[in-house]
Amino acid sequence: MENDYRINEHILDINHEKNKILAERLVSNSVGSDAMVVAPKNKEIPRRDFLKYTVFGLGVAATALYFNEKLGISAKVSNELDLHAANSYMIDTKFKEYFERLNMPYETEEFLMFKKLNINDDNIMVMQALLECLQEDGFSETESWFAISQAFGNDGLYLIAKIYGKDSIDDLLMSKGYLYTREDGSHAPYREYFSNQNQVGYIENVKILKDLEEKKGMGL
Amino acid sequence: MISVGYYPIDNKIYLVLNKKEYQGNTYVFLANEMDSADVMVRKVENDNILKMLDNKEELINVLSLFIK
Repeated sequence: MENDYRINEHILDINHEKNKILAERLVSNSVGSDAMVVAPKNKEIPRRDFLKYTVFGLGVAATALYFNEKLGISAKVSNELDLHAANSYMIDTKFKEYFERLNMPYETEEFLMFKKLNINDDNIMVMQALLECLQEDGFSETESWFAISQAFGNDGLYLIAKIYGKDSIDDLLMSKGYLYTREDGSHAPYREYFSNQNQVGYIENVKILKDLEEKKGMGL
Repeated sequence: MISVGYYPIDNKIYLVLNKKEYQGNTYVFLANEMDSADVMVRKVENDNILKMLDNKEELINVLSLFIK
């Protein structure tokens, strides 16, 4: 069952032993003396699938760069990359490549929010693809939302709210269990449950979430 | 739908996710269509010869181009 989470985990927790294994696999697959004659071909695939391959595949590349020293690689360029860079690659660099073609109405509340978050139509498309990929890989809708909230923070939830056309983001987050009400009546993000979220990975947090939900009798 | 280049390798389809030029050579970043975590980099010669990279330093330098 744990393997079902492998790809998703890769996105969400790059600093993980399994991701190092993926990076090592990339190195062993790429370095050697073999050569072959093979003619390139073309095929039609869904755009969403191509984005999925790109985000996941190049994420492995970012991981390989992060782990370069442990992999026995020493190159000056690799020293410029650290964990933060590898993590932010998923959220910033690759997405910005798709998001540059900003074409949103301006002077609207939505535009100002999206401008603040550097979000445009392509960003939404990528986020939708990610959500679909997570669900295709066996995550429930709630788990997918949780995963995205962990990966993208509350800004990502705003984006999801936009996708689903909800009027009230707070209501949406409450309904999905990503906000809860403190004793003083204020709202707090669900992630506050996970005081150790910086030390453990996505799988562990999902397990914690499931336990909490089961105790509440809500289920996932 | 979009048109994507691919190479059949060992009875698997490896999609071309990206292509870069580096020091006079062409490199492709490939992903197994059936396992997106199965990725590799190859040096392309004459459009139909795929060669593994000589060493890890070459790979790291090329990878940095792919993710920039």
